[in-house]
Amino acid sequence: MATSTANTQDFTKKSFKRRLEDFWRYVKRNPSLGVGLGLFFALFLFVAIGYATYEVERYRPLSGGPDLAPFEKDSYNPVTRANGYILGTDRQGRDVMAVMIAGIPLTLQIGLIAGLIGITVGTILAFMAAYYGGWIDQVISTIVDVGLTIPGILILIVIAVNLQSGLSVPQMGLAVSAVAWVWPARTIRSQVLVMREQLYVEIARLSGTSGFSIMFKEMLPNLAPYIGASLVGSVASAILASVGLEALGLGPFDSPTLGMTIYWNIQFSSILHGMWWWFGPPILVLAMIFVGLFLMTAGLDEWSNPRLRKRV
Amino acid sequence: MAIKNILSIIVTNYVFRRFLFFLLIIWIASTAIFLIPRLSGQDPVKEKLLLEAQRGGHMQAGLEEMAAEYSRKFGLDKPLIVQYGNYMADLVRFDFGPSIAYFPKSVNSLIGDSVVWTFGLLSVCTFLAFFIGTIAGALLGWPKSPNFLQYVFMPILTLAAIPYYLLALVLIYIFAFNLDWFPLFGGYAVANLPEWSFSFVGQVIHHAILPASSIVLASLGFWALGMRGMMVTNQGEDFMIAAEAKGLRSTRLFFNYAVRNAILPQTTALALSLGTVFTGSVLVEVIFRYPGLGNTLYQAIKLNDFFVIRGMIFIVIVTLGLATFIIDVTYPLLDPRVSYKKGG
Amino acid sequence: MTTAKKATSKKTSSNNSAGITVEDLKVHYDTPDGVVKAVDGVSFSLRQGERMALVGESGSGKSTLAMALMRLTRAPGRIAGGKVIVGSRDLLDLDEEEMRFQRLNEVALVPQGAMNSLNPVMKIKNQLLDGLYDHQKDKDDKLSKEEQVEIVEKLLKSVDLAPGVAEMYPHELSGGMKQRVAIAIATSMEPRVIVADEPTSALDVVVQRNVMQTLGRLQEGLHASIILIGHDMGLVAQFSDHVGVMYAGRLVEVGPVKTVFKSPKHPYTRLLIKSLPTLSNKKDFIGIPGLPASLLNLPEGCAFCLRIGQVTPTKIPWVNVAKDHFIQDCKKCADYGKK
Repeated sequence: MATSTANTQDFTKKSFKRRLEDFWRYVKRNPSLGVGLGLFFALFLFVAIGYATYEVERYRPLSGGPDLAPFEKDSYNPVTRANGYILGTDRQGRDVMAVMIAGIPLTLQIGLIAGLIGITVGTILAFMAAYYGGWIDQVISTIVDVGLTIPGILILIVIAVNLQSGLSVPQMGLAVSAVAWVWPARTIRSQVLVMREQLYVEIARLSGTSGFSIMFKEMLPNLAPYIGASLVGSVASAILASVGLEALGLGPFDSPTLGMTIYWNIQFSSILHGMWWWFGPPILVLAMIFVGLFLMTAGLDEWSNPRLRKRV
Repeated sequence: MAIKNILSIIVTNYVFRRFLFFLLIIWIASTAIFLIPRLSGQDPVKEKLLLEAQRGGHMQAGLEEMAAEYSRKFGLDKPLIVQYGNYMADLVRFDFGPSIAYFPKSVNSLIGDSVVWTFGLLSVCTFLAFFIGTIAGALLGWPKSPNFLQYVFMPILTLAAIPYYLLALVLIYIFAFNLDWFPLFGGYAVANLPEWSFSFVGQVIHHAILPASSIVLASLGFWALGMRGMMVTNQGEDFMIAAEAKGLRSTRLFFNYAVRNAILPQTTALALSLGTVFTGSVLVEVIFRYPGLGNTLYQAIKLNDFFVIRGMIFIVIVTLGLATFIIDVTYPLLDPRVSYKKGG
Repeated sequence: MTTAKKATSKKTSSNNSAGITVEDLKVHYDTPDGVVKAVDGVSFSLRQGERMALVGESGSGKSTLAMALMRLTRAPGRIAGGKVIVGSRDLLDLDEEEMRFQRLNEVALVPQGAMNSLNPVMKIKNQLLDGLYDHQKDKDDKLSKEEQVEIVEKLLKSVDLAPGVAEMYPHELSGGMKQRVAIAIATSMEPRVIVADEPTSALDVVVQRNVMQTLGRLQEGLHASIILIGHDMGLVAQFSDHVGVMYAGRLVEVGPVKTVFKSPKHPYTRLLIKSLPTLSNKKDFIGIPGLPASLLNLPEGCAFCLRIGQVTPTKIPWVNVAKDHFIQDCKKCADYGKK
């Protein structure tokens, strides 16, 4: 069919460079996603440079004199530490800067482990519930509803209190994943329910494709933005839960994770002593992490739901 | 025949099903609390007592009596099923046994007062945050609203991302430590005892402003965002376009059409958010040394007082379940499409 | 009450030639890739009391046009020019509040049958009344309870619905009932022009007929002009006096329904009618070759030529070939599809 090229759209394949340009252009139009990614990139840079240039082992207690303000002279090490430490030290002699550099990746690691496990379990359950329907759906939905109503942290507290040895970082990740799967399961299930009714799924089913095949080949790719957004949300709630547990004193005591730093801050009433260099950085970093994740979720939401586009 | 009919009506009744759900939650939670300690070993509490004794706590003296009462109460020599039965029987009567840290004081006496403080604080905060956030979100999601609102609200929305206690730390530093406008901690001034007088109530309010502000400010954004999203989605709905075609006034479109419909999922979200609000407030109470459940829980964790922890968690879950139940049951009043008779 | 007074005043003052006149109406969408001319200079005229149908493929711009007539075009679309003259006033010239008043009052919309055009949480009676409330000039002129009931009953009766429907909610009604309510709402203020955007598209055939009959009956009673958007040619043929065919955002032919059906002058109309199955025609279905035009950066020339692979560089004139009969007179493709 000879149709004038002036009248049809150009559907030729785009080169990789062109795709990158499109991505950058989209990020500029979607500031939430851009700023969110930017915040994380900044943290990443901070940790990378920190590990390359700083003596990160000083996150351990008694690395220096206690309660030193930034750049205050360390009387315990007058020669080597005449200029003190960039962010000072805490009550137990930890170098606060080192604690930050070492702690950020640990906290993010917990979030990532829990988030990934959470999203995998959540997606699988969501698909099973939404696709097969019937009693499978009833059972899974009820479990999810129960999981949403009972605050997972309370159960985590019960678990943590009963573990004699306390939790290591990977163990925390595992424990927190037990609560991170609930919300993704719910949102993805509703999405799959909508998709199940759509025509291309019907056609696939009628043409004899197996259930699994439909789920993987047809639905999963279309769900990618939602799963992406849920992953970010899952990581966010995982970090929230883990920091909460640590701040309560149920985390890995020897690790300089951000939550434990908050715990020590509360224990030693750093605010009452005006030790702003000790409670300031973890609050700032945590704020960056949470706001970053939040903006990324908002950005991904906008990407997957075009109706929300073009709003502030 | 009639009985079968009545039975089927009851079972499909919406209220009944929500009530069953409420019971299910309590059952699952309490069973989990029962099983988890026992998964790690034979006698978790006794081991804990020994641990405390090792740490040389104030329990050395009462250790023997405590162990004896514990064994008597829970019959640890009896099979698991019987233990479970006793446990459930106690729970139903809200009998949580004695506190380990403050033996022989009962758990209830320790929890009792804190419930009132937390309940007061959280109900006010949730109501304020929901109310203000929903209105803000509704205005943000309405295309005819003035543009400057977007810029005013964006920073508040981002506050929603951070946990309440981070905001609490910042607020305490600025307003209590530096500016000295508000007290640093407590529910009331230090040397006073609770009483029903104007000055006491005044103190309570003064002390509650910072903790309440952290919770309200940090949760506002969530409500606003949700409401805004629903309003935006509604804008594209057929009935909105048709309503505009009817030449209705803006105010009517806003309230009776947009808000009235958007508020439905908001209310559902309210029910689901209660758990989050509570867990977020725990650390806020700790930071402010506010005499509520959160603080009591924190102290109990530090002292490894497992019975108090267990009792508190149970109470919290019952309260949350009850609140969820009440919200669920009143939902059909808002949405005529959900009826009390059918499954809901 | 004001509605009763208005009824008499409208009928006596209605000029038989008033109706609705659309002049060179343009609706454009601004996309990052360029301008999409969803409606590209459409003009037609309809006398008071006449019925006109607008047909065309999906994407031809019919619904966009319907929305534009009510000035309900939403971003990223915008009305880029033209006039919509109803009863000697150009609707596009009015300010927001004046236009709001015109809606339902002078120009009313009967939404698509597939739409959920009723507010799910409001009772039917309130949805019948709230339009009336918001058009009262005199705020103190409140309706008493009895007047409310009377009006609601009257409206429901006019569309053959039982009075009990007033207390129901939309989800309790069937598709046909909901459309009748929509018709009742649209006719409640005795408008001059009714725009019906595929009012029966999601209904089954029997219900379709009933709803169309109700609509037609009310329209006649009001002596209102009606513009019916649709793609069901059979329905169109039965119902309307005039028919307009749209393609690529432009009107290619408009004229009396019998003439257009029996001897269409534009090739697109010809193919459209040929593609209709008839009881006597046992041969293969004849479709229209090519794909509907992309409205993005559509060139000035004949859109139909582009479809069959030709190019016409200049704008095609809109020619009056007979009484009330106009076509896009493109010499190049005029004979396409003629036997």
